[in-house]
This record gives sequence, C-alpha cells and structure tokens, in this order.
Amino acid sequence: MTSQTQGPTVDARGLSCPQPLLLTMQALADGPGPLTVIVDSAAAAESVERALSREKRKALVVQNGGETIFNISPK
Amino acid sequence: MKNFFASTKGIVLAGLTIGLGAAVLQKLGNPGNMGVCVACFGRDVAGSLGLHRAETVQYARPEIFALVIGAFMAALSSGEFRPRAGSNPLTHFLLGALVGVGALIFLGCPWRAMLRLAGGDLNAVVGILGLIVGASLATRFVKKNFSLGAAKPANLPLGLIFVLFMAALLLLRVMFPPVADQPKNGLLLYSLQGPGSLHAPLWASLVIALLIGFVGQRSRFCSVGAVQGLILFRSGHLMLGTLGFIAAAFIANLAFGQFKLGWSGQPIAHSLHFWNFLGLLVVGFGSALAGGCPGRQLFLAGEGDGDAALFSLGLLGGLAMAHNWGLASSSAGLGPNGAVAGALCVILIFAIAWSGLRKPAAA
Repeated sequence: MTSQTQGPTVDARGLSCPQPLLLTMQALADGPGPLTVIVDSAAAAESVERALSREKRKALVVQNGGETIFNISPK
Repeated sequence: MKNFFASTKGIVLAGLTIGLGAAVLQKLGNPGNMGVCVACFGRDVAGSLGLHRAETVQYARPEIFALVIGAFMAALSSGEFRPRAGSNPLTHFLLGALVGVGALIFLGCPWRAMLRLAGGDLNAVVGILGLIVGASLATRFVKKNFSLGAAKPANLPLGLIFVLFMAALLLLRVMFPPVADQPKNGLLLYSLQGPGSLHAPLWASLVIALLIGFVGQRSRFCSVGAVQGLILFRSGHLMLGTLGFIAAAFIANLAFGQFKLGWSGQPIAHSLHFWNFLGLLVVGFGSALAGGCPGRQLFLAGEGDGDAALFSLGLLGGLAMAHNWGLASSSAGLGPNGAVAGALCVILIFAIAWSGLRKPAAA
C-alpha cells in the first residue's frame, strides 16, 4: 500500500463488475479533488483507466502485486 | 494500455472471433443457431452426466470445458490467474440456478439470443429486450449499493478446482466418445436424436472454444456488461464487442446458408413472446447481480474466481432441474411447469436484489 494516498479512497478490491467503476464514478462526481482508487482485478483496472480517459482525469498508476492503485489528481 | 484486447479494436476483434467461431461450429455440425450456447450446452453436459433424463439433450459438449480451459490459459499467460472467493458463494450458486431456468424458458443464453438474431430468428429480438430490461433492473439495485460483498484472495487449490473439474470432464469425453446407435459409452450418456445428437467434430469444438475462451478472458467480453456499461457509464466499449459478435455471426450465416428470417419454424425456438421476454429478463437480471453473463462467468471461473465457478455449477444444477421438473421450454412451447417457474425466478431474484442492498458507507 502506498503511503502517498491523497483525498478519499475507494477500496474496490474483491468487488465484481460493475461496482468498482460505479464507486469510482460516484466518488469522481462528488467533487474535483484528489481521489485514490484501489482495485485488484485487471478487468476493473482497465475499466477505471478507460473511464479516467473519458473524464479527462489524470492519475498516477501504481501496480502493487495484483492490485492497481490510481492516485487521481485534482481536476 | 498493455492489453490489446482491452482496447476498442481488441473488444471488437474478440466479438468478431466469438461470433464467427459460433457460426463455423454450427456449419460443422452443432445445432441450429446454437454454435455455442452456455445454457444449452451446459444442459447437454448435465444430461450426459445423467443429471437429467431428457434423452434428446445429452452430450458432453467439449465447448463448455474448453471455454474454461482457454480462459485459464489466457489468465496464466497474462499473470491474471488469481484464486479468489467468498462473495456470498451460496447466493452465486442460487443465481446461477435461476439463470439456468430462465435461459431454458427462452431456450438459450444471451450468446444464443444473439446467434438466433444473427440467424434470422425474430423471437430473439423479444428475448434480447427482456435481457436489456433485466440488466437495467439490476443496474437500479447496483446504483443503490447492491453488493454480494467483496471476494477475498484464496489459495491455489481453490482456484484450480473448477478448471480441473472441466479438464476431467473433457478427459471423460475423450475416453468415452459417442458411439453410433449407443445411448451410453462408459460413464457418459449420448442422445441418439434431437439437439444432443448434433455436434461438430471434437477437434473443431476444442480448437474454436479454446480460442473463444482465450479472447473472452483477455477482452472481458460480456453481454450483460454491455448493457450495464451503456446505462451506467454511457460507455459503449463492451457493446461494441456484442455488435461485432452479431455482425460476424450474421455475415457467416449468410455465407454458409444458415440465415432464415422469420418468427416461425426456427430451430429450437418458440414464439411465446411473453415467456421469451421473461426468460431472458431473468437471465439478464440474475447474471448482472452476479457480475456477468453466463459466458463471462465461465471465463471468470477460468481465472480462479470461485464464486463464478459456483454460479456455473448452480447453472448446471438449474439446467438439469429445468428438465427434471418440466420447466424447460421446447419448440412446442412452454414446459408444463414453466410458467410457475418463471414467476418464481422473478420473485427470487428480486428478493436477492433487495436483500443485497447496503446502506451507503459513512463518509
């Protein structure tokens, strides 16, 4: 786990489709601030990555074992 | 993105591959508009194992086993094999069983609905509308924080159990192949007539289904996810895959002379609109709550997802019971107890959906 997390965290590990993306989108809709999203499946990571590209949000992506951590920058 | 199949081109290619593969398997001997069907083939597997006694639908379909093994190989090769379980396992099993009954009221899983459409069977349109409504209903619950809970990482054996089970069944199919005019060989039962007697050669079923399993796992191809992606996120990503699937099957059907437009006289289909709609509504609703359509559940099971494996085993059980209890439809229409079963499936899935609602976590 990174110690550099910023803002609220969405922990979507172990959740099935479409919950990881839904929780991420709900958190993004809450405001333009920073957000950390943790997922543990490649399918979820890809869907979050595509959504961030659609929403034009930048993120630092860290791979940690099977987990992917998105440190999403403020808008 | 490192994974080509996660790109737009990738998901379309996956859809094209699966649709074309299915049409080719029909050309090579699989039943009409049933090149690949997770429900029908699961039912045939259940019959071959003696889990039901409907003699026209018994065949150990290598496609089912190969879909899982293909997904397993894809997951291994990409480092995505990840044993996990514990997201309300029994509920996953029950959802699989209910989806199995719904699919046999319609006569096909969502893949077969698309294949029926691509073969000109207009009844499929009614079913697909039901699928869309069912997946939309699930979406409403997911928005209100419906969840079966998070799965936890599990140990290696748990992730391998279902894959090894499929490999063992494939081994049985190879050891005890169908023999002309014999209803049984070794441990396996075989239909002498009806859909169960129609099948592509073993090698073709294996090669094509392994390929489908591979691209399916890599691309996350999912018919229910396609609907949910559009509704929830206005993302057409997975929908492009299903459109590719239908387009490839349609063009191949035209080329192979397998296209016949109409409502009546369609292979292994009936024209009871209400029940076609309701059957796939159950499938769409139940699968979406479980995290993916029946085909996607097989791919997930191949990745080591124990809950998806339980969904698939529940599906197998539901499909078998659908024939034991007269819930399954046929070309002649609804099974004797199909109407009651359809209504019960809807009630039970709503009950699961309500029971899975959680209060939003405190911020």
